[in-house]
Amino acid sequence: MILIDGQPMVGRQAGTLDLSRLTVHNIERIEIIKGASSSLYGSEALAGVVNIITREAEKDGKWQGQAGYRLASFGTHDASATLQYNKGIVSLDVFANYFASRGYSLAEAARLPTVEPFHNFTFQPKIKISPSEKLSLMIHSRFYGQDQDYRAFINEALFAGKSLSREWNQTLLVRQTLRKNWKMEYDLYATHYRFDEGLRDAGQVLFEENLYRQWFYRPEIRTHYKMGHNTLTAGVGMNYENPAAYPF
Amino acid sequence: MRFLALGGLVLALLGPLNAQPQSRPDTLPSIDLPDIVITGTRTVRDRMALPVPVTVVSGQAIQRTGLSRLNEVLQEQTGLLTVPDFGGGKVYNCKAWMRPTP
Repeated sequence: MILIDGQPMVGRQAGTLDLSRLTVHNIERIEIIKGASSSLYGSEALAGVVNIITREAEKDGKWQGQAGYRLASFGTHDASATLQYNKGIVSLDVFANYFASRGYSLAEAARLPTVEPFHNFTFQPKIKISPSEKLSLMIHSRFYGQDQDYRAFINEALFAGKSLSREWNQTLLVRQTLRKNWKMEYDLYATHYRFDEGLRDAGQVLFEENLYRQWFYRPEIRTHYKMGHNTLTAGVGMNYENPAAYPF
Repeated sequence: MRFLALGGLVLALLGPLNAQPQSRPDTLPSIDLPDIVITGTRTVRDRMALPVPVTVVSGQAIQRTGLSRLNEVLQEQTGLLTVPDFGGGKVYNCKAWMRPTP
């Protein structure tokens, strides 16, 4: 199970998750738990949990920016930019990444490349507003999109099209300290993943179409009550999931 | 004879250990690391207080590898099994599932 800042990623096709959807340039750290963690995260965490913690603005009271670009073989471009601000009650971290490749072939004699050309884009703004030490609101968003060529030879005829992936993650989290030893967390998470793929013949007639849609919502209320060295954590929440795929 | 020789070897090994003064300070260089907090239990906790073993890969360590995407980084981790899936050009790189360590 893959989590981004503690919230699950969706969009498994045939049971597997495409990990290359995530760029590593804004990762603060990755926490890996091997072994069943289902009591905390549900049945998907049977084998383990990978939690990706993304960077947050550091406390220094000014605007800060970072930009990076990398050019690599196979026409690979990897560009990232970060803008951070942290002053008073507002903390802001905006991250953007562009990744593209011309694709490559594992077998030189092949008529079509093993990996077709693609380009993708990630945009991840994180806002934190803390009106007082006892209250904070976090709004985390993430948008991802990838376009890739899709071609196939069927009975010696070339069919061509595109593979399109789109992903959206949204977290709204309110943290409230009621008393010195009593904290509340109100959490609302929504995510959507969609995938569209089509093949057309030379006359632009649609030959094949693959679709995938998944919506996932998770509202939760958690409370932490501290009694001496021990903390009691309790909560209530629900999952609503709506996956749809064609033609599977 | 062989027993005696072995005994001599053991004594020779023990000898210098016993000769060390007990109060001698440790001369190995050491750094005090800050307590690492973790979200492995869905609440922020001290790493040492967790009931499960957790592997932490720091952002700095990822940066040093020079890799770009998450599949490349997770491929490098022990105990994680990632599976490349070139599925006819549909997905360009890698899909993964995880298997617990034996």
